[in-house]
Amino acid sequence: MNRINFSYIAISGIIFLVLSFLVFFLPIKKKQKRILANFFSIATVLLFVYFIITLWINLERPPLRTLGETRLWYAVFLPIIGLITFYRWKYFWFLAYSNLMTVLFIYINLRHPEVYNKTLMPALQSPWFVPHVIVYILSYAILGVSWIVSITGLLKAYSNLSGFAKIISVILSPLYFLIHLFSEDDDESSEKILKMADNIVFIGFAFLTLGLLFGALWAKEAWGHYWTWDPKETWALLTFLVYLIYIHIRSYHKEKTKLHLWILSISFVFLLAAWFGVNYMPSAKNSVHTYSQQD
Amino acid sequence: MPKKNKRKLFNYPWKYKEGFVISGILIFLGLIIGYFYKNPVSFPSFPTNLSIIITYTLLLTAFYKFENNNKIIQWLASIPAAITSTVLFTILSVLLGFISQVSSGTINTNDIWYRLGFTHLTTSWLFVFAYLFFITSLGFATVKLFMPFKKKKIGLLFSHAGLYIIILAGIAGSGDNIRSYFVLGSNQDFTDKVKDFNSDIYYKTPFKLQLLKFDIVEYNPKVVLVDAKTGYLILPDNNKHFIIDKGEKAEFLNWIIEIKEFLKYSFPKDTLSSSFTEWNIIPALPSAYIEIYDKNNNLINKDWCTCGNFSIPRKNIWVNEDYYFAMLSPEPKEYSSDIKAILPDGSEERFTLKVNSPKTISGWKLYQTGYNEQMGKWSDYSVIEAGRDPWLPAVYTGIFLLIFGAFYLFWLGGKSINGNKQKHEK
Ligand code: HEM
Repeated sequence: MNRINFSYIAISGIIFLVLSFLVFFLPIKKKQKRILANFFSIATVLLFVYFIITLWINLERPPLRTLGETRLWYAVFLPIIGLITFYRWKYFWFLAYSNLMTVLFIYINLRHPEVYNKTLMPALQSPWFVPHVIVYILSYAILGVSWIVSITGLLKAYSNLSGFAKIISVILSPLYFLIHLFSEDDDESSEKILKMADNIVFIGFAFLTLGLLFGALWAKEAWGHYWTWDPKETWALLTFLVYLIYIHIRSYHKEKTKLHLWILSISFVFLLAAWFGVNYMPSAKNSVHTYSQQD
Repeated sequence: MPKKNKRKLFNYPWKYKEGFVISGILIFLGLIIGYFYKNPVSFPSFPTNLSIIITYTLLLTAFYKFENNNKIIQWLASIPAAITSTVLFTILSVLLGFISQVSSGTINTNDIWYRLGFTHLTTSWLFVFAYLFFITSLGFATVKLFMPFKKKKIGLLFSHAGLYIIILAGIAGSGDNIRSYFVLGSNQDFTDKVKDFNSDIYYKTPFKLQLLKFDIVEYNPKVVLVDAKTGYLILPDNNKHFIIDKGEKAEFLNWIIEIKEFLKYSFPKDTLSSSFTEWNIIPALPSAYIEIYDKNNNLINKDWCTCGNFSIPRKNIWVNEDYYFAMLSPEPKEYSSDIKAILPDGSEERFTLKVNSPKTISGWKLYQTGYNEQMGKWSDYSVIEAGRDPWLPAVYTGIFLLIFGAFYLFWLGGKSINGNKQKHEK
C-alpha cells in the first residue's frame, strides 16, 4: 500500500466527511439531513476499515506503531463514536464535530505520511498489543471530544463577559457558531453542556482505565513487571488522575459549573502530554515506549 | 458561600484548605526525613508486610464503623480529602514525569536532589507520605461505599476496592518481589546464580538452568540511501522502508536499485568482500548483489554489499561522491533460548523461552530478556530474567475488579454520579 493509494482513500474520505457536514445547509427536512449525514459517516468508516485491513495485510503486522498509523485508527473511531453518541444521547452536532476532527486527522496524514515500517520488535508481538493500543486510542478520541464540549461550555459561560474572555471567545467563535448551528436543543446552559461532558468523560475514562490495566497485564508478560514507572506509564497515570479529579469534583459540587469546565479543559493538556509529549521529555531517555523513534 | 469563607483553618467541617495544608505538611516531612534518612525506602517483606496491610485495612474499617462521628474520619472519607490527596499524588507524579530518575543501584548520598528524594521519587519519603494520604482517603471511601451496602453502588464499590487492592498489594509486594537475571553462557554448565536487577547482590535459585541453544529469527535487512556529507538516511520515494529481497526494486531520488542476489546468511570469499557465498555458521551475515540505475536505465554501479558484523566489516555501495547505499543490520523478529532445567526434586525439564512467552517453574517466572547485541544472532550468552512475585494474584484480583468497574462506568455514563450532593449539603 503506497502513498498514492492512500491519497485516493484519504481524499474520498475527506469528501464524504465534508458532505456529511454540508447536508446541514441543504433546504431539506431534519430527518433527511440525518439519514444523509449518517450515510456519509458510515461510508467513511467502511472506507478506512478497508484501508487499514489492506495495510495490515501488507505490512504483515497491525498498523499501530507510528503516530501516523495511530491517526488512521482515529479516522475510523471518531465517526463511529459520533454515530454511537448520536444514537445513545441524541447529540447530533456531535457527529458533525467528530467528522470535522476526522478530516483534520486525515489531512495531517496526507501532509505528513509517516514511515510505514514493516518490522516490529519482539516485545510488541503480543496478543495484548492490539487491545491495549486500540483502547487507548478510543479513550483519547473520546476525551478529546469532551475537551471540545468543555471549550463550548466555557464560551457559553463567558459569553457575556468582556476583556480576555471575550478575545478567547472571538478566537474560538467558529466552534461556538457550529454548536448553535447544529444544536437540536435550544437549552444550552452550562449545566446541560456539563451533563453531556460527563457522559463523554465517563465513557472515555472507562477506556482509559482499561488501557492502563491492559498495559499492566501485558507488561507483566513481556517485561516481567506490571508497573515500572516508565515515563509513558507515568503520563498515562497522570491523565487518569486528572480525570479522576474531575469526576470527583463533579459528584460533589454540582453547582460550580465554571470550575468544572476549566478542570475539564485543562485535563486535556495532560492527555496531549501523555500522547505525544513523552518522547521529548528528559525522563524518557530509557523508555520502553519510544520505539517509534528508532526509525 | 460567604459562611464558608469565614470559617477558620482547621475548624470543622474540614474542606479543601485543610487538605492542602496537610499536603504541605506531608511534603515538608517527606523532604526533612528524606534528607536525614539518606537511603531509598523499601517496604518490609513477608510476613511483616502482610500484617501491616491487614491491620491497616481493619483499622480503617473499625475507625469508620465505631468513630463515625469523628469529624476527621468523616473528612478523610469525603471528596475534599480524596481530591487533595489525588492532587498531591498528581504533583509528585508530574515531577516523576519530568525528572530523570537514577536507578537505586547508583546511590550518591551527597547529591542534594538525591537526598531530598527528587531523583529517586518512587523510593522517597515524599512518595511514602503521598501514598499514605491517598490510600487512606481511598480506603475510607471504599469502606464508606460498603456501609451500608447498596446493590446500585456495586460498580463504584468495585472501582474503589479494585484500586485500593492494586495499590496496597503492589506496595506490599515490593517487599517480597525479586527481580533478577541469569546470564547463561553458551558453553556453560548448569547454574543457579542470579544477579539482582538493581544491585550487585547475587541469589541462589532453587533450580538450575543450562542454555542449550540461543537463536534469533531476523527480518531481512533494510537498505537506505545515505547522504555522505550529512550522514542523513534517505528512504525510498514512496516513503516506505525498503526491505531487501531477491528481485526487489526501489526508487531513491534519481536512482533505482535492484537486488540481483540476496544471501540471508553468507560469508565473503576474500578479504575485500568482492563476492559472497552461502554460509550458515558463525559469523555468517546478510549480503546482497545490487545494481544501481539512473532514471534513463543506465547502469551506474554494481557490487556486493553487506551490513557487517562483529567480525566482518561493513561494505556500502557508492552512487557518486555524495551518496551511497547502505544495508542496515537486520532487526530481530523473535529471539529464543532452548533451556534445560534441573528442578529442586532432581527432575529435568526442557523448554524454550521467547519474548512475550514466559515460563513458570517452582514459583519463579522466567523471561527471555536479552543477549549479546554486538554479536546478534551469534550471541555467546542469553539473559534470562527470573522473577518471584507472590503478591501477583492479589494485584490481579484488584485489576479485574477495576476492569469490572470500568465497564460499569461505560454503561452508566454521567449517571454514575448521582445524589452525592444532597447527601453532603443537607
Ligand atoms: C478507579 C477510580 C475511581 C473511580 C472510577 C471513582 C468514581 C467515583 C464516583 C463516580 C463517585 C461518585 C459517587 C456518587 O456520586 O454517588 C465517587 C465517590 C468517591 N470517591 Fe471515587 N473513584 C475512583 C477512585 C477514587 C480514589 C483514588 C479516591 C480517593 C483518593 C476516591 C474517593 C472517593 C470518595 C471519598 C467518594 C465519595 C463517597 C461518598 O461520599 O459516598 N475515589 N468515586
